[in-house]
Amino acid sequence: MFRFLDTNAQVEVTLDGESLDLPAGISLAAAFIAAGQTPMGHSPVSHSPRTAYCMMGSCFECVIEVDGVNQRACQIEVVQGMCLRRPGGTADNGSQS
Amino acid sequence: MNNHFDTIIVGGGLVGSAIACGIARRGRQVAVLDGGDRDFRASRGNFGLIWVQGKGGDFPAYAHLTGDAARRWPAFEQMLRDSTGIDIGLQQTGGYDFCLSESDWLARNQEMQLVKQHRGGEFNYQMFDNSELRERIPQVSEAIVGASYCPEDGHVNPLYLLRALHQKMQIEGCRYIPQQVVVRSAREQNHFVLDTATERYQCERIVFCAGLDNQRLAQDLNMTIPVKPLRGQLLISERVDPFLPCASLQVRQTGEGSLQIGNSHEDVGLDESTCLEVITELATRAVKIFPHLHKIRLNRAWGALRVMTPDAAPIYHQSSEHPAAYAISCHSGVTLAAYHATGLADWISGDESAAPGNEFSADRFSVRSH
Repeated sequence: MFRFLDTNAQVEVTLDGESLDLPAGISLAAAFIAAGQTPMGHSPVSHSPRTAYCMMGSCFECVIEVDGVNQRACQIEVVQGMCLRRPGGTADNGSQS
Repeated sequence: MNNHFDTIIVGGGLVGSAIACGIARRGRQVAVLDGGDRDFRASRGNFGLIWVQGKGGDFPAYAHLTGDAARRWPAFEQMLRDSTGIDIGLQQTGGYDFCLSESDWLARNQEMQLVKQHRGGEFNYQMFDNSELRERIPQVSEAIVGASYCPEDGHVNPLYLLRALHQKMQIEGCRYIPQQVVVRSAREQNHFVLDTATERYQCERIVFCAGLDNQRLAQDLNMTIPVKPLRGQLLISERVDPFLPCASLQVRQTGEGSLQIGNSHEDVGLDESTCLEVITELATRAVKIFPHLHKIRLNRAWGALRVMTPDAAPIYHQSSEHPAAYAISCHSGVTLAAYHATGLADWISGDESAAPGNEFSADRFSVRSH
């Protein structure tokens, strides 16, 4: 359904430790959708798969860890060398065990 | 348009819509006149607690009433869910009020003992020290002195509750009319007349449930209802793994995993804005209680105005001059909803045996000569 514009240069990021090429110059959420990288994460409660929904910063469904900080993927641009980690499942709830 | 109703409820927040549901279920024809979206809306900025512990330490009837409301909640939630299909996220597995200092802990213990005296065997609470607390919630800091715990406490999603009440209102045949701020009300012949900017309404029975506007509205029918705003600011965090087994006064975890952080009290008049100072204070306190929260991100913050009576207990007032006129004011629209839709609605519908008692009349605030 979604295709890259020919003009988009590709940059390399890492996703959960694996190298991945994404188009530069667009939002991280758009790049994930275009690259078929869904889901972007999982709900911490139901563990159901989640992905970008509103694409305008309101719904927080596209939150992903970027260089160690949780961010809304629809609100930031893809940058060369970004270290990305999908949330959910392994998130730290502070328990000692 | 026929603007004559048996009962008119002025105000469609948690209080007005709960009472409307209850009265309509008893067969009366009810209209709810609601204000505008920009009005002060305590019901839309609420924390969502069903809170019993500590209430009514200096007001025995209020201690009983709160416990009674909490006990009505499971059946009330079931009725709402069966009727509307809306899951309001009720979790009534108890609640903690964290004590950050030794003096907090001692004062809390005294307060709980008072409530226990008033309610006798029917009220249960526990005071936990740090190690007892950490056995129950391992994420609590070692620096927290302890907490009080009451098994009757709980929480709901307050926005789903408001939506469910509004849907229930429609199911019961209430007429809901928004954008109708009442500018004047009066007794004429054998009924009440209410004017808004565009309409005139008539009714046999009138119930003011308009939050901070109750003082102005009830004055037209010679009722003195003293209410004042008390601002609370609330923070919403990103979703995190569930770690809170039940509600607390300081932090609650929603069904979606977000944390709601609150419990600030500011006397700032009709100002529902937020300020960095209080946001910082709330966030700092949450991290003091749960150190692992230091790295979570906040999504948003808002301010809302509680509707406070002089003694913080509800006002259930029936006019002595016009016995079919009532004024209802409280800051516990969630906790008391299960009672407002049942026992209180029975009373307002005309069942004197369900009267909440004269202790709750606004007459308790008038100066006595001896």
